[in-house]
Amino acid sequence: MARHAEADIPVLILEKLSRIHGSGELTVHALRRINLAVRAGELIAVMGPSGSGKSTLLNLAGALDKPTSGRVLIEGEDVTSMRPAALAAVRRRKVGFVFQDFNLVPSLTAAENVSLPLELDGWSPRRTRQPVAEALDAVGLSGQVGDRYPSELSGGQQQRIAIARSLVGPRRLVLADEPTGALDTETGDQIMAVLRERCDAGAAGLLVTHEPRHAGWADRVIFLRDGAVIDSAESAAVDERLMRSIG
Amino acid sequence: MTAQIVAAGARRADRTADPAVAWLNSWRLAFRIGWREIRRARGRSALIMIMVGAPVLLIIAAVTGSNSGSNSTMVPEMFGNAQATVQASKDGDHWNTDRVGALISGRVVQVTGGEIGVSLGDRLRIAAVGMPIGEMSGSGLFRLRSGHWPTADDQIMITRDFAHRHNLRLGATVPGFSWQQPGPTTDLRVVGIVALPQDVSVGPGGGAEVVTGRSRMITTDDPSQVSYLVFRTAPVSYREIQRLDSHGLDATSRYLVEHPELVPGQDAGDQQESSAPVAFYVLVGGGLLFEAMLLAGPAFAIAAARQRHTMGLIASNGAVHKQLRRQLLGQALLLGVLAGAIGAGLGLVSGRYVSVVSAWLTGSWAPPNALAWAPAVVAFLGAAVAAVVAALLPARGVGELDLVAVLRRRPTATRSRTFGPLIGSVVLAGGLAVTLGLGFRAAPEMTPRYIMGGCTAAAFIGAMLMLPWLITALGRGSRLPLSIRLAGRDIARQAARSVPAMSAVLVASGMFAVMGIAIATDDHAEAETYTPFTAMGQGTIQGSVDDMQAAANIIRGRHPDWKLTPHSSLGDPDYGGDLPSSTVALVPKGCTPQQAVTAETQADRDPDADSRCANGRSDYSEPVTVVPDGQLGTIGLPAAAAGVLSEGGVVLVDPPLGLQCSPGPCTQSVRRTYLTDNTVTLVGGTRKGDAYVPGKPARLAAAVIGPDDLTGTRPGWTGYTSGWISADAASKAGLPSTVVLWTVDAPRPITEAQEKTIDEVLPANAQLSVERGFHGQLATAGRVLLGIAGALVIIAALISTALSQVEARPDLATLTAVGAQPGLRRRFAAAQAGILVLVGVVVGQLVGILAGIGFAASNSRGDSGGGVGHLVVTVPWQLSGLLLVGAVLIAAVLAVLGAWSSPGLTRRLG
Repeated sequence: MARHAEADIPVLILEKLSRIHGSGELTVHALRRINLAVRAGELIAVMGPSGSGKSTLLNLAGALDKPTSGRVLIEGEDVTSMRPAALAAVRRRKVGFVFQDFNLVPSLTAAENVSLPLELDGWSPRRTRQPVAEALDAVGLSGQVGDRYPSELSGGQQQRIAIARSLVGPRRLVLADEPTGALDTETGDQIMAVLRERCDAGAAGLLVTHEPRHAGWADRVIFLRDGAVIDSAESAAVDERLMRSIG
Repeated sequence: MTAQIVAAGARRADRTADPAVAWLNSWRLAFRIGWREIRRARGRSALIMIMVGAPVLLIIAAVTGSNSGSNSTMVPEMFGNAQATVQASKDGDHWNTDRVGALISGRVVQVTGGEIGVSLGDRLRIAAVGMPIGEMSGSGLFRLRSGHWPTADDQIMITRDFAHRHNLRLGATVPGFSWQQPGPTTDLRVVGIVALPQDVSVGPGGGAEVVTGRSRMITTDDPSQVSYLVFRTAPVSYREIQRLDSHGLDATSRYLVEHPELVPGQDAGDQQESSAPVAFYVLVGGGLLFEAMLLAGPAFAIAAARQRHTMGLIASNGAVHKQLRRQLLGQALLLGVLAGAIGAGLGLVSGRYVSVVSAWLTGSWAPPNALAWAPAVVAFLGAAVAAVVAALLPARGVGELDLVAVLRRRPTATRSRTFGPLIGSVVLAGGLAVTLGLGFRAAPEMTPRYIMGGCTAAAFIGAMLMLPWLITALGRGSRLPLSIRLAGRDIARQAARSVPAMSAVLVASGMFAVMGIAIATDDHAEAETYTPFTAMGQGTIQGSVDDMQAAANIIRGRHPDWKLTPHSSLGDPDYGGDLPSSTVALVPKGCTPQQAVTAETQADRDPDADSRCANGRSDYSEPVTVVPDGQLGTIGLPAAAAGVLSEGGVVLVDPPLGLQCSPGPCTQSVRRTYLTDNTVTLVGGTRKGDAYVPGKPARLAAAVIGPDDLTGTRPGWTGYTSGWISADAASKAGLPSTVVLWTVDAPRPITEAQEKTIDEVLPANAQLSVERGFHGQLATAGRVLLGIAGALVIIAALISTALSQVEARPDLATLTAVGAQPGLRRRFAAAQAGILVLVGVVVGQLVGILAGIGFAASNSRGDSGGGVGHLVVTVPWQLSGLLLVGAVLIAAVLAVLGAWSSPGLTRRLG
């Protein structure tokens, strides 16, 4: 796998990130002082057993949730203390999500789903045509697919649309939460290939997965347990680390 | 390192679109998504459109349906197919079709309205219209319903109502005669059933029941009943009208009626537009739209809940709260616009033709009503606003999504708010306190009424704001049966849906209580002051003199054992024409008999005339009653006054009975104005042309009493008089009198069936009224109110319950899977509907009753407009109880019927 060597400035930095839910006897430490940096061109996989904090990590990285302590910097901007409107702007322009359930808006066509962040940012539909076409092309979908509704597309096509949406326009950071969870093996591999391509083209990716096979597409794998990073490795050493993390 | 990263981040270009364009594009996106969501959820969208559009349809149909008074609507009834109508305002005998035709081009046709005599068991005077038979079909005044147009002079057409009353069919023979010119009868054959214009007050032939070619058989005293219709293609100009007017004719041009702005000195605003009471429709329309808004609220809450995940997706792509709210508000605006447009359109169409249909049903015809465009536009906009307002609360919830939970499809907890209910309690208490305080303290003038109205509205709003507290309390019951506990907690959990529904119930039942108290109190007050017109079950005949005589003859013929007695007054007090045929005046001090007679008759025609010598009917008087000899003792006069009356004198009552002086009490004194040495002077006047010639004045002994001096109980029809004179004294003094009333005394109370049968054969201008005691409005109006309020309450409850049933399906499936009984869903549905109605009706009625008491207290203490001068408050407890119990039971039963009892074990969708 080629690694794209771009600028050294990480697209995503997590500094001593912690997230605590509840209080008193019901306190849950979802994340404990996580430090992580993801550079452009890099795909980082996050693995761990259920309840280890993988999704919490992703939510914090994408400014969907606020940390209890620590900082999140996206393209150099500290989003931790941003107001809701500013966070929304970050999600429109800098961060893209890919979910397990595809999570396309059912009443929008494929092209409209891809252009959604741009339109929310005030772009006219005409102005979004070019970037949408490029994004669809980048994930291997032809223009005709753009006019179809999600219900008319296969799972693999929907997930490609989701990836295209996550990286349309100026966005450079994609956060994928089990993107192959609802897909068959072959389609899942195809999706991982698309994700890898996008990262090779300059995006930064953070991937949550429980599939060692898919973690193998990443440049690096980190292992979480009980909210803390217990290990990290190059993707080639995933199997051994995985056995240790869930042992 | 971190500083370099931050600096690098800051250098990245921020490509933001122009704010105005961004705003526009944001709404464009919202409408696009909203329209597709509307199409996806067709059932829910249709429900919302019906709730919002139905009030618009009803209001616009009512406004348009009552819009029959405009000139453009009346033109077909006034003119038929003619371009002008011409009437001889005086010298009617001088004019004919040739003479009129010499003054204007076109075909001139004479139309004569009046009365014709027919012999159908009894000799009856029937309103008729005469026209040359060859002109009837093309005149545009008549609609042939069955049979054919007359082809000979002895053929007639009759109305459906006339045919039904006298059991006549096509081909029947009706002996006819001229009422004023005695002569042999002519057999007239019925060849057609005809419909005449519904509005009898406009156009020739209005109110006629027979159409004949024998105009000479029709008699009339009124020259305006003879019209000349001008038929031609070209409109009749203002100059032609002026020319006709200069010859003493009264001409009206169809074209100028339709275009009043062409008449110099008159603008379009002078024409009579809608006769609809605008304020009433604004009030009712606003209330209906408010109710629609409350009913649509739960549906929007469901829409918001169903679209939470979609909203979460949009938010995860960078939508701010405003943009999320716009998704729902955009849908609401689209639905409101659609519903408003469809409702207004259907309302205009149905209202336009409601008069056509109602006229057809009554056997007459009417042109379509004028379209009420302005109210339609207002109602359309109101619908759009109502829909958007209905979606505001759910949209606010959408803007405050917990993104993480929503994207993971986890249920989220509802935030309970304290501020709103607290404010609500203050507003409720304050509003009611002011309403009651003003009601029991202030005089019933308009300003306090407006304040009371505003405070009552505020009290209702305060009660609605408190509902979240109430329903939260509902959710805390732990000892109740499972189905009731589940229902209460579901209502509490889904406040966004249940609060609007409960508010709709609250408002409907509250307004029911307010209006019920108003009607019940009015009835109570009227019952207090009600005086029976005559003895219970006995009757009176009123109408024109000749028709009353004819009616009396008819009744005598059918019921020989009934006693019919004519009652007269001096002069001609109930004249129907332009001028009375005779008059009798009391001569004030300092006036001559001629002055008194002249002023008496001038006062009615010229309000600015010197009324110093007029005691007349328009100023300070009621007619003097002529008492038949033998009945002098029935009046209940004090002894001295009774003596004056029996010895040929006059007894005057000061002030006259039945006289309404305003503003303030009556101040003119009979004694000061007319009495000289215990005598008064009366003089009769007979009309000659436009003037009155006084007869020989009669100076008669007089006594003046007050209304309280009268003893005994008198029938109501005797309550309108200036005084009394015996028939013998009036005759000896040469004072003219006119029969104003007949009393009908039957051995047994006259039944409703007898009354109806007699009415059917009486002449058109006579009416038999049988006293049946006081009948309040509450019986009828109460039922209507109960029906409307009950329907609104039940609809609100069922909408909320139905929506809840759909949402609760997974939970109920889970309960079934763990062993719940099959009927649990039904009981749950019944409990939901029942609790919603119970809480809403109880709270609504409490607020409504208190507010209603305030209004009733204020209203009853007034001395006019329904007031009796002392406190009267009546609460229709039975109706209120019926609403509460009935609505709860019906809503629960309907909810049970609508809920299916065996839910499938569906996979729980998070």
